[in-house]
Amino acid sequence: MELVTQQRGAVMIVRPVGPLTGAEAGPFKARVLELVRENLGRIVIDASALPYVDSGGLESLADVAAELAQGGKGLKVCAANQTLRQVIELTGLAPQFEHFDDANSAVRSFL
Amino acid sequence: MQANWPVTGRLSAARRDLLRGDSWFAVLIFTVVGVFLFSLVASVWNSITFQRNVRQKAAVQHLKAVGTVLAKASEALITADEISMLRRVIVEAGTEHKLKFCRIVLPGGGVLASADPAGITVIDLPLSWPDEISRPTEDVRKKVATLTFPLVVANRGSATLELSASLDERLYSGATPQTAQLAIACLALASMLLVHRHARFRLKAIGAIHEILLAVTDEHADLSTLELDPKLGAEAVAWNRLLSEKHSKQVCTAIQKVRDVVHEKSGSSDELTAAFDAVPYGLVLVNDRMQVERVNGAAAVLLQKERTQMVRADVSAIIAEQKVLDGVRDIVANPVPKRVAVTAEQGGSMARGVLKYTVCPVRRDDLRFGLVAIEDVTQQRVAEAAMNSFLAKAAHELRTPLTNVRLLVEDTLERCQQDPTSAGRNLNVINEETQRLERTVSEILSASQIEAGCFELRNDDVHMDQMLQQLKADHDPQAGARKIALEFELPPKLPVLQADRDKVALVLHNLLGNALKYTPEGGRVVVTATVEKGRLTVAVQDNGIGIGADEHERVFEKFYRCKNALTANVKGSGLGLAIARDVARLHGGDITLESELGKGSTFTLMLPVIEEAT
Repeated sequence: MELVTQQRGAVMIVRPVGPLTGAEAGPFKARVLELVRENLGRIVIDASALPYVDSGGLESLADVAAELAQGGKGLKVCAANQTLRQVIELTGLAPQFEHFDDANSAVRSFL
Repeated sequence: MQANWPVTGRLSAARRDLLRGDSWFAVLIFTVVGVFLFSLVASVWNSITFQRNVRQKAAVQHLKAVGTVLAKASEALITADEISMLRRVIVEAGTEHKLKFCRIVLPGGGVLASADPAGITVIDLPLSWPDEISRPTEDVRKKVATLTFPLVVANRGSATLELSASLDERLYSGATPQTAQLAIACLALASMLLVHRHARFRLKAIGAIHEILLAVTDEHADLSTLELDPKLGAEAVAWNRLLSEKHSKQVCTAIQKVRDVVHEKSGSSDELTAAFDAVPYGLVLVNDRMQVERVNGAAAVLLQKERTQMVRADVSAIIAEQKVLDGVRDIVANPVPKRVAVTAEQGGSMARGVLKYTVCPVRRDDLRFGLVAIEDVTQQRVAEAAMNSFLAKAAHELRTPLTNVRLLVEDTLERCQQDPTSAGRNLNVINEETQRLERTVSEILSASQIEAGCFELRNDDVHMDQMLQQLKADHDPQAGARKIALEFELPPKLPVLQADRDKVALVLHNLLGNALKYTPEGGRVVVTATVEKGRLTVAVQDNGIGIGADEHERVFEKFYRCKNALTANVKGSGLGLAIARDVARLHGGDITLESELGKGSTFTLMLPVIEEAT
């Protein structure tokens, strides 16, 4: 899967393009954690191009959220489609994430 | 004297033991028992003595009766000259009555008859012998009774019957019950002594326990001092076991208390740590030795340090800002609490982040701490900088047409009477400037909405083939007027996007409009569209003036205009590309630029084609 990054002010928007599944979850998590450290936690996962995730993908998102939680921050996810939102809700991971309708709202939440 | 010491010591010890604790009771019992035993022994002894005397008298009386009878019979037998019969009677009497001796003695000492035949010295009875008148005698001594009876034999003379019998058997046979009674009493006494000895041995441990219980008033006394010698018996062992269990329980209780305290502290510590970590601001607690006492996760992230290395480290190794360090030092050293706020850029570059440090005093008893709160204000600073830049450029963009309008209005007012033609030209320019002002204001508004996050996107079905056809139709006249070849290279079928139709159209118009504006006459502009990997790509390529590599990113900044002299006469607010890229990004896409000065530019719009989940 491709990771498109955009710098919005001091915030890094990470947009995974394509499904986040098994084999891709590891590299995704490693790259996102690297971006988290580089940007001091100012990061947004733009899920607009993320059609669905499997258990491995959810685990990688949860790991990123846990890493951010150690710094008192939550993982901001924006533009998640209904399928992804339902999966997150059903697996009980919703409290670990901050949900926004679009990237701009997520970026503005850092103000 | 030396030999007496142990005895004296034992007596003293015995007296001390007897008078200690409940031993007086034992002494009393012993005394009573002693008196009882003494009375019993005395009674038995008295009884035995009395019985012996009675039996002794009875035996003597019995012996006297035997002698009397035997004397009468002997007189008759001697008178009848029945010596043999006499001797047989004497022998039988001696045997029957267990006499020590029994004999008839004539005057002169001759023994006529005797229970012991060997003692007979006069074989034949003489016809007569001297008559010696004697009296009956009775001699009882040394457990032997000796009686004499005078015999008077008519016409012959007198003789003496001597009887002697031992009183031992007769006397002591009757003492057996008393002896048995005494023996039983002695056995009882011995048994009681044994029981007492055993009971005393057993009670010794109980007495010691009793004394310990009375003596122990402090429940926190050292239990090891209360232990008894295990030789005192099972009670002492049981007591020691109880003490051991109590000691173990005390130890367990103490351990539990310690654990509770530790747990309470650690619990509160955990809660405090959890609370620290939940705070999105970095928190560093510094003690008066300028060491880090506590740090939260946010501080580790913001200061880009390992958390474990931060605790107990010198704060100067954690925070590089000298003002912050001075503030902390001042706070922990100064008894008067005050607050210090310092804003510093990490590494001197906003790109790495801007941190705001606030140092506040923390007081607890005599301890002084400094709490450094670290806030990541990078985004705020970026936003402020962007806003300031935006306002400055917006003011400039608004002032330019307004200045033109004001100058033209003044010129028109001055010359409208003399030169109506010039006045009309001025009015046309004023009209153009007003339209430009309107566009600029509109674009500023859009940019402001994007910046403020209130730029709303609709979710329309955008048929790209129709939109691109409309785009071509809209710009064909402009391209034709400037003799620019406008070509569209489109695939047979384009997808339907889920996007804001007007905003996507605005982006495409901006890109194509810019291409036509910055392409000289006779140039060529090609619009191509492709779909791959869930993405629609629309590229607008021209062979115009091109953009230098150093300006590739800057052209997307708000109000930025290229420095190329060829663009000086091209009017624009510098907001179009910025808005276009923001719109593309808000849709989850992007706009990229490939350009080379003098060779033209290619702006590529990428928009996601959302796939439905399978």
